[in-house]
Amino acid sequence: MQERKSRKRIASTLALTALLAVLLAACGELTPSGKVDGFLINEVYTGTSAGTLQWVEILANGQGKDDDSTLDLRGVTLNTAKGSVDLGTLKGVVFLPPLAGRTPPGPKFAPLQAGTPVPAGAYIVVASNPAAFAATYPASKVVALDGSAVLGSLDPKDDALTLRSGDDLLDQIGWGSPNAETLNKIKSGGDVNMKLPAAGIGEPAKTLGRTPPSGPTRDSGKPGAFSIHDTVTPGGTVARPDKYNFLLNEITNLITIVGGLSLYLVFIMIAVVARRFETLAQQRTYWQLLLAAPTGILIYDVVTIISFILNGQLVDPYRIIGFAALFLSGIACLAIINVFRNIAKDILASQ
Amino acid sequence: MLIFNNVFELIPTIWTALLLEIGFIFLAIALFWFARILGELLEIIQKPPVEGLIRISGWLLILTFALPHYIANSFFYPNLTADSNMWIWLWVFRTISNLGLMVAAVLAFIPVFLYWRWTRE
Repeated sequence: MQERKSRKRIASTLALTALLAVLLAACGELTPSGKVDGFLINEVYTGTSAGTLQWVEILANGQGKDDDSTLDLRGVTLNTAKGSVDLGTLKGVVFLPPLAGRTPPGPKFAPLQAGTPVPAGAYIVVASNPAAFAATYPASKVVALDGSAVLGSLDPKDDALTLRSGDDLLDQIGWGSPNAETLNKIKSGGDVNMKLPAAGIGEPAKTLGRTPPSGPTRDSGKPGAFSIHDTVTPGGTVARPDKYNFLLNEITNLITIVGGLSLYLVFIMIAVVARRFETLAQQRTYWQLLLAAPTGILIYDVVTIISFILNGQLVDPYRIIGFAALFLSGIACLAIINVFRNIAKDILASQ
Repeated sequence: MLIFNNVFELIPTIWTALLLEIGFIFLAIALFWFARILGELLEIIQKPPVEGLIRISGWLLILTFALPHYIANSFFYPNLTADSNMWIWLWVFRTISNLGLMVAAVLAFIPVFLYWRWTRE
């Protein structure tokens, strides 16, 4: 018996360890250096064939959550099999995403002169042909840096590029099976972000881009891992479609709040029923605890209302407080209804 | 507040979403247990077995609220900035889950309210 228990314990420990290992392996690394602060490759568009418009979006992933700090672009090079270009010698207009605390908080476009620092949080686009880029994306106010020296001949099926600062490898990306000659030329390092699927196969061409966690503010610690993006977004992130705003926010928010309050009322009514049962059976039913147990549902609702009013959506730390309160309430309701169930069962059985 | 924000950042989105869904699953189980008691109480006062509505409500909480809400939180929200299609899916799943919550609450309320009325005198 003892031996069987011990075997079970070992088996469950091994299973848990294996699960943890799989989870850790799935997390992966975000950059070859393991650091995420500084300049990062954010999105790459190769088109469906070499010779068409190609562009690379670079994120100035500065420390902190504000764009009051800057990063030095001098000496940062974009490297492809075609060649290398010093981004610090180019000029254009960069995009700064909406930021809480900025006045006004909305998105901003800032001119970038050669050799000047870049605001942290800025998205810089380097295009094979800046004029073609402007014509292709007329709604974008981003002015692409001239990357004709390095872009335009990327192979959409198998290629790679790196972002370097002198000898330091800042970031890299490779798709398909880039050849060894290319990898040597661009001085790539290791396999991080180098075995991605090709996004330029099939029409319309997609992009390879980092997917950051969504939230009200940019988080420099979480630039996201690469995946294929169906929506091409040079110089920014995907905007919320206006036509869904009303349905997504006002109506569904109202339904959530009404639903939550109704559920709270249900558990209050259960407490009332328990009280009535106590009066009739002259036996304690702990209805007072049943009355208190669903308080977490109410907290979840109140916190949700406050967050909806202040932020338009449920954001941290309101989300965590609300979710934790509801979780605790779920445990409390389950435990106390179980007590009530056992008491009621005994009384009904004796009758 | 800065300290609190740092603490909250340590908790990944998926785990916090899971906290809510598990909480709602507990509430659904609590409703299942209560439905059993209410069934017997209704039998004593010789009223129709409306406690079935509470059982339906519990399943609605799990299937139409907890599951779609978890999918929306763990998959659609984190990808909003990358793919505009996620907004459409988010809208669909949010609508399903929030309507599910409201319908479940209304369904659970009816039998409890009826029992309360029937035993008022």
